[in-house]
Amino acid sequence: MRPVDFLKNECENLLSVLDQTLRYDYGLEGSREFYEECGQRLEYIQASLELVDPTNTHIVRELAVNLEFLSELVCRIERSSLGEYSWPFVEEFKEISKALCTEKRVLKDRVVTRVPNVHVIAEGGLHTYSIYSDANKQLSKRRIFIIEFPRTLKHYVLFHTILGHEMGHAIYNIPLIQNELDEIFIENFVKASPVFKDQPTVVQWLYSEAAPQEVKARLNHLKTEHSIDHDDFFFAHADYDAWLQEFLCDFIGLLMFGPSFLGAVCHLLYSNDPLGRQVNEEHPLTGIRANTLLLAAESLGYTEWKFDQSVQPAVDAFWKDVYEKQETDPWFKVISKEAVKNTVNKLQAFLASFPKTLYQAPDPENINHLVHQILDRCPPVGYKFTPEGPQYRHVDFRDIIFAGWIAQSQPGSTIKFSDINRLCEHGIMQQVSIEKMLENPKKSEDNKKAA
Amino acid sequence: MSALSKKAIEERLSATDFKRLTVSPILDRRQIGPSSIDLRMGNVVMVAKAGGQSHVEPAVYKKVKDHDCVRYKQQKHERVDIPFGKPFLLHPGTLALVPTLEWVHLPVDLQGIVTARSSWAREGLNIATATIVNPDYRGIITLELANFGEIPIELYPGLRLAQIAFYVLEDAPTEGYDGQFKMSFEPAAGDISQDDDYFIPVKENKEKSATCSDGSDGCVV
Repeated sequence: MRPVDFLKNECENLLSVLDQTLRYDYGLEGSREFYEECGQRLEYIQASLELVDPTNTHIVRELAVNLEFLSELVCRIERSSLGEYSWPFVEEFKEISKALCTEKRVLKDRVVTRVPNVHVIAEGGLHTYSIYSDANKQLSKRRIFIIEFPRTLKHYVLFHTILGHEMGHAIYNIPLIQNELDEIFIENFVKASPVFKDQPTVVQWLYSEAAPQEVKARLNHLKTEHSIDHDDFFFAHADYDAWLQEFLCDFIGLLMFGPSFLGAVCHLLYSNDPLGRQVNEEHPLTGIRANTLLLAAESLGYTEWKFDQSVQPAVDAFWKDVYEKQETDPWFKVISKEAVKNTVNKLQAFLASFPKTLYQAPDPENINHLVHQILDRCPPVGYKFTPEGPQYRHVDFRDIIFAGWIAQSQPGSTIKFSDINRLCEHGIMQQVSIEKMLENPKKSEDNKKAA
Repeated sequence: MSALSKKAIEERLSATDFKRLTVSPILDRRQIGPSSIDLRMGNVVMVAKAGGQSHVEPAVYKKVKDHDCVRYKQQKHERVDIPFGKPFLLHPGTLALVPTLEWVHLPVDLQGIVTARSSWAREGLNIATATIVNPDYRGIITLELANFGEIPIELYPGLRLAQIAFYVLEDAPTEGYDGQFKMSFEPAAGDISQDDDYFIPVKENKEKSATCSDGSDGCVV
């Protein structure tokens, strides 16, 4: 069989597998959009294989790569059973994703809007939070984003806020957004950092005498075991651009989810790097990321938010936990607070143009109510029953999660972290029903009259 | 034991002490009737798989960590998540476990009785069993829905399917009662042989259990 015939055969196989995926329903909105998008891409590849000159190895190889990628996409459909991830969280997160990732193209006299196809799957592993962005412009009618959750953390909506960072990576793949982000980040962060302004400076700083012992040990290991020294650190081991992108995506995650993002970072990143001093290929040291995020949180005024006196001790305890991750060693000071402030302010202004993307300062009364509901072991929602009757409030799902982080910091509370997560997940789902009622003017008015 | 009136229910709902009754959220004040609160359908449906098992086997509940027993329990129901606005079709003769949308916490001196709403019962929808909700219970309430009619019934999350009435218990414990219930977030199959093990005969070793298709003694106890 010639390679081109083999690929044609594989197209038949893939078509069959694609049809078989419809044995089950996936996602709340069903699988129609994903099925049709994948079907159209397959048709394109099949048509190309019919036309291609079998001796044109370059195009045949390109089609093989496209087919392989499509095969991966199709097989991921089957790993997206609704019961395996937190759909109440996903539905809210999809709204943000669609707002951020909808692309507009001007074609002659009209504007074409491409809403992305957001697909969700669950995978094994504690650190599998990621978003696969589909960069194949040639084949795609609509861009496909696949959001991956750790299967074991299905209900842990407090951790799911880490996806704000992954969303940063996803939108960075959209050329127009990438240009804007690069401009803001390079101008305000990279150029302003005495350490990260270029590769030689980073290397000089890493290999400096003042570096922590753990860093020196790792660099020494790289030298003795892999012959990687300071000259080729960024050539043979780490990726400078990837390191920078991590800082940028951290800021985006923080702006998207507020203090909850910091809570998730401090738990998840330190779970496999307890000291925060691992030298990693694609990620800068966790300790530096935590320090930078803290500067950003201070710049955004998060640490100054004040709440009811019954909740404030828990808020203080939350920040105390976060500040415990702060590295005070001067070696970890890689950027000024002013530069971080400039960067996050510019990013905030840019992201403000996308609806629902930014986390807004919460109403203290809302947070107070939500935290007390959680501590009372009741799902946190914008509802309470008073002597005057039921009262309802609009609540952003991110407020529910922030209330969860505060509740888990409540001094003396015996409620388990897993229960807090499930209560918050349940609250997000229930809040959807409250919002539906509030959106219905007649129902809302009826309730007021009844009260 | 006396039933709570609408006024008493509303007082309990807005109480701030240990007598507080929680039903959250009540999306419409008219959910509170003269002596009960209507309960809405939640977003999960667990339907017994007709082809999954030959019969209900109490013996599998005696062993906890055995491959075939765990498989029996896990495969007994098919779980379907249904968002708001999407229907679920309950066919005649089908039993489905669904959670209530509302989260309920009963104070230690109240007992709840869950029944079908008569308007739905007239369509053939029956809330089959487990009508008693014990004091200090905390979580969703599992509704065992069965279609006793002859045509399928289309159900949507958020619809008011059931109602709960409350009764004050005599000699109920007071503040400080240590609840025995864990929070319940979604419907699950109960343990039908709990504390009744001695009524379930020990099967001969090597006997093929109804749930073990491979002839192993996995489920034989």
